[in-house]
Amino acid sequence: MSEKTLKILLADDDEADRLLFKEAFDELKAGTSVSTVNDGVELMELLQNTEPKNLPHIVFLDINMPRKDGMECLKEIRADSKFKEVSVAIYSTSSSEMDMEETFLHGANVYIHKPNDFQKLKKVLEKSIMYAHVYQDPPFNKENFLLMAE
Amino acid sequence: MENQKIHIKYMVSLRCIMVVKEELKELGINFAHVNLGEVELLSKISSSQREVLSLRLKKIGLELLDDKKSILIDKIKNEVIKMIHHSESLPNINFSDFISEKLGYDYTYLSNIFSEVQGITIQQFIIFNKIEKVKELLLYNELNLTEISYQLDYSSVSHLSNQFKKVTGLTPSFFKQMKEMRRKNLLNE
Repeated sequence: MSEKTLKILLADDDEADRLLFKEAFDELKAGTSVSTVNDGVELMELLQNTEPKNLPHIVFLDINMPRKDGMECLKEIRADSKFKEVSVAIYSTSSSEMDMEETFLHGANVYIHKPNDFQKLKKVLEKSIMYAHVYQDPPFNKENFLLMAE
Repeated sequence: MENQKIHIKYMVSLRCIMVVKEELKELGINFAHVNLGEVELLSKISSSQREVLSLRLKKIGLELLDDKKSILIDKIKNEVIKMIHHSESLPNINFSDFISEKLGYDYTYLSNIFSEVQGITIQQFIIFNKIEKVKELLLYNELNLTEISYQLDYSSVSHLSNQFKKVTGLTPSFFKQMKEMRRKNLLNE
């Protein structure tokens, strides 16, 4: 298991949700540094303008965002080799298996069924972070990093 | 030659990393990386440097692990990885006895040091590694689940499947199917 600080970038158009996630990350004290952006367009601009060595380890994406949604961002991220080391976690309130399959199919690493409860949210984020940490080091193969957290 | 590593207890945040880096710089200790719980040094530190570093870390609520414990943590990880990923079959005794025997220490002692520094238990580390191996074997397509469960010493296929689901949220067959579909999909895009 790696002890590196995980750089997290969160894209969500809902300010209350951004604060909630940030609070959950902070309370976990899991060695993360968290930045946020307001939507998919901002996210992609920021990623494109980031030096490869400063890219986040994991991007958390709300599936529903105006201008550019989570799925569009995921496809753009996976189509660009600059981001091949970036893990992507998508969250949605939908528990539909179709949504989950669709996100994995397009290269997401984590599918989070977003809970209403703050304690549960902390748990799913903790699991996602723990995994992202684990997959930083060999013999763990990033290509096999698939997780469904609910 | 591999760089020397030192381990530090109670590092919990990015701030801790920055503080440790500052301390190392002030003491003129060259390092390659500072991660949570672990520092990779570019050269060996003298015992006097070590003593001063230990005192300074103590003042900010951190604890420098002695060399012996640092080495033990690396040895535990290496033994687990060797046992699961690089051997033909798993030992016939349970993991705790195996590791305890290999390293010559009481398992509770090893387990406590490991958890304090790594943030997960040895058992969790073993489970993560076993599931990773299961994934690899599934994708090689040479063994079926029954054979994989036998090779990795699960009591049954359902034991393996339950652990896989608990850890990844997915069933082994869904994982395999998804990986294959995804590979094709990403190739076509």
